[in-house]
Amino acid sequence: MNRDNRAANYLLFLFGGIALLFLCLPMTGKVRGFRACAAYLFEPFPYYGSQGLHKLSTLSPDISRLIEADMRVRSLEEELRQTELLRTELESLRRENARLAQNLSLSTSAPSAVGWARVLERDPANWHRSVMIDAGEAEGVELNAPVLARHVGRMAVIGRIVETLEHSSKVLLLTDDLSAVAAYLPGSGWEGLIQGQGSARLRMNYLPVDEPLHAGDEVATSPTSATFPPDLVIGTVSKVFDRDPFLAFQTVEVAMAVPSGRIKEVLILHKRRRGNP
Amino acid sequence: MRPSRVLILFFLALAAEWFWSTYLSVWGVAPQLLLLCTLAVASQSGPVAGQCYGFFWGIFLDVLDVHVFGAAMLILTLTGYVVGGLRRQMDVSGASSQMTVTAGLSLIYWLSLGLAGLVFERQFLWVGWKIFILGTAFNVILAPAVFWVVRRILNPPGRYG
Repeated sequence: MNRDNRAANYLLFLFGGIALLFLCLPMTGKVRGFRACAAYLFEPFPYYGSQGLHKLSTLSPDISRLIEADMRVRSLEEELRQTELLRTELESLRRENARLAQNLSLSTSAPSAVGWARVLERDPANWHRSVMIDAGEAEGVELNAPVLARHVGRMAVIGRIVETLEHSSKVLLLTDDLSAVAAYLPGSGWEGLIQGQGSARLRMNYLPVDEPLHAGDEVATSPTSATFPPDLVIGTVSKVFDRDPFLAFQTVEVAMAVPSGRIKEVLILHKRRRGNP
Repeated sequence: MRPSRVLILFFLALAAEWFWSTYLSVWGVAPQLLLLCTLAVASQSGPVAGQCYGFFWGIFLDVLDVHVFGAAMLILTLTGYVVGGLRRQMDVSGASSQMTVTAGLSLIYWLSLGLAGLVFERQFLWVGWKIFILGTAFNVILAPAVFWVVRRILNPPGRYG
């Protein structure tokens, strides 16, 4: 019994000491190194688990699903024909836009995608803070790359890449306290700063005091954002806070277009490079 | 404890935590299975096993976190130590006592995470009322099942019963 107690006390000092050391130390190269090493050791676990589940779910397609798939293919082929027409029109408009932008000495940067990835894992204690996805450096994911997700037929910004491993990456969600994005209200054109609260809702500051703002107004990324391409949907104004006489700006609450609890698959864009179309 | 069973429990708990929080969350809330498993191991096998499991499961949780690195390691290690040390004084063989201990420790766990943020990052990392209440409720509901599974893996009836 005494030997067990002694061992328990030694272990408490050892493990507790290590944990406290990590908590006290600033995020230096050595701490990051240990963290990357731990992440590397645990990475195959959710990665191969997710891959395995995905393969299992596609193993036994029955006949009705095949017929359904065939019908969808036909419908998509029809849509594709329409899309071809739209793409030609888009190309023509893009060329015209580039020409006009060049004449006005403006830089243009159309966002291009690295690809889609699935959410590998998330921690219940950090639900609104970060998620791990199954694409990493090997798939071309870069630090600070914008990340989008789809919900009820809409694509919207959900965050950016803050950590990359070989086959997985960590996405810092807009709802995290550390997130801040330059955004604007396309309806009125006013620009502000979106900040995460660590909860489901965002807060948009620095809007003009005398501007009437309404719940339901759409919020999009600003052209001045250093990380995100312009005009990507973020969400809608859900609440306009009462004006504070001591502040020189108005604040609104923003509901994400893609709720952080519903993120299953994400689209990663290439990192934004200013003045480099 | 046989090493194979130790490893099975370790990886099974990780798989369950990952699968549940990724695919089976309800309203964005999932039970904190690794906390439950640490509790179950410590109450059955003592503080040494509880701390070892708690520490390494804590690393897994900390790798996911973008904030205080080391908080889950510390809290789960302490959970293993305290519960393992008090296992002779409290009876956690019945479902009701397991649920009571789980409820108390779940609330302490969420608050400790916030407190770690306050001490080491100067902001209280509040998990939100939804997780605080619903997450605790899920933990309480699952506690008897997790205790039973952990007991079956660590002390199979064929060997001791």
